[in-house]
Amino acid sequence: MIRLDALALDAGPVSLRALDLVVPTGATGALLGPVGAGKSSLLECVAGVRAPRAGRVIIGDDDVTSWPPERRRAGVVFQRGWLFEHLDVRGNVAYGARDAATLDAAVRATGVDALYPRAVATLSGGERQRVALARALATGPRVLLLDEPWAAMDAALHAAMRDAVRAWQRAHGTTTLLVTHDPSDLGDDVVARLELPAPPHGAPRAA
Amino acid sequence: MTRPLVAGAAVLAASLLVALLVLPVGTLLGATGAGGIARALGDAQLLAALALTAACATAATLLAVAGGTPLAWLLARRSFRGRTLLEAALELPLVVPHPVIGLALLVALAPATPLGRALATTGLEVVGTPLGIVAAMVAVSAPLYVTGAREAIARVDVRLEGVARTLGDDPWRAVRRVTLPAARRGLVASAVAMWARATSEFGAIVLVAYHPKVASVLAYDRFTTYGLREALPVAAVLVLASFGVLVLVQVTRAPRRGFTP
Repeated sequence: MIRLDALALDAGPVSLRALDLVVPTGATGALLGPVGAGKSSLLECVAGVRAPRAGRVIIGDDDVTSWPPERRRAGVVFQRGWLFEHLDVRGNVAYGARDAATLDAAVRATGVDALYPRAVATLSGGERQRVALARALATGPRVLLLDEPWAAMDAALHAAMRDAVRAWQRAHGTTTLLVTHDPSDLGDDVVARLELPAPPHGAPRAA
Repeated sequence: MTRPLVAGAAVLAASLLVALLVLPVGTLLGATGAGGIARALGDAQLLAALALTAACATAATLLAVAGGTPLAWLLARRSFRGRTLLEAALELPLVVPHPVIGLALLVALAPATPLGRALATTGLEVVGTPLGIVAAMVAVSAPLYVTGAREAIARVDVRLEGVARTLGDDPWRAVRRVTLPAARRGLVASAVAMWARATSEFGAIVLVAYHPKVASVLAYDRFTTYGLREALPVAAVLVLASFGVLVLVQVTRAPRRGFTP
């Protein structure tokens, strides 16, 4: 389970408060909202790499609000993948692997071994996201936090990776929180939604 | 019409600068000649000075890397009270005349000082010893490593440490497994640059440890004792050795091929 209890956080110019969400164990929840609403920042709070201003983050039966990221066992796929450039694909996928069996399962689920032993710098955006997903699954997470994980993928890879995550959830009972703009991701398996308001001064301009 | 004039002036200025940098050294090598260089390579005192220089510079660099890398990470990643003063203090040896650094070391480490006496109780003497040479090299050249390492670490996105922590690393393990390897090229280049600078140090060393002679002090000693003719072969060998090190520095600084998004 993932539960947000009156969570409040500051995300750049945006200040969010009184955020409540419950995603049952093994189910999928979605974070929705326009660009600049703070969805990624909220996901970072659940992951533990950003501190909230108030409220609680509950994972399973644990109040993890004050826990560091390494204790939470949250598998995270960040919006840009954030692969380690000094490691090849194999090194990235295995970085935080729980054990050999979990690593093997993550590789089979994503088919990422097709990208061994390429350097990260040679990957396309969709390939980077695929590697990032395999890396997150290999940790054997109890929750999955996915920040627009399919954004750089073509339709076929998008569908394949979405199905892979759903299969992983069924096999391992992993609770998932998904940030997405794609309505096709909001299927019947999405049982909880949290829609963030538009930022006070509209969407941020592109750099 | 003005554009060709500007380009021509730029080329002329650059050519004059290159000439100013290259001609004196080239003239020195030419005046020494191959024969003089060959004789110098058989000079036991010169070879001993070169070996001492390399050994002390290596020790100084290792000390700077061990202490300077955590300091560089702190300066790259953290804001704290007094940080500006600390950075200014660290970079001070880069702008202060090096004999002044030598004087400061003498004041701080001479046997008559509290620190000197404390070192002496452990059997360590600094003034007039290789340890003094290492201390002078560290004092003058370590800022080169720390500032270079700080920039190399700052170029590694701090969010990567957060990613590593979501994969199970504690903060220091994330730095060790992600940040430092990602900054490796910059750290190595900074260490090589420091080593090169340490080998050429003279002003601080000549005050702290005239003996045993490092290469720079030997060149000065030959000139003041025997004149220009006897000093030229020593100087020529030092130029060639330094040039080899600088080529290595440039190789370690060479950008990687390809584009990394």
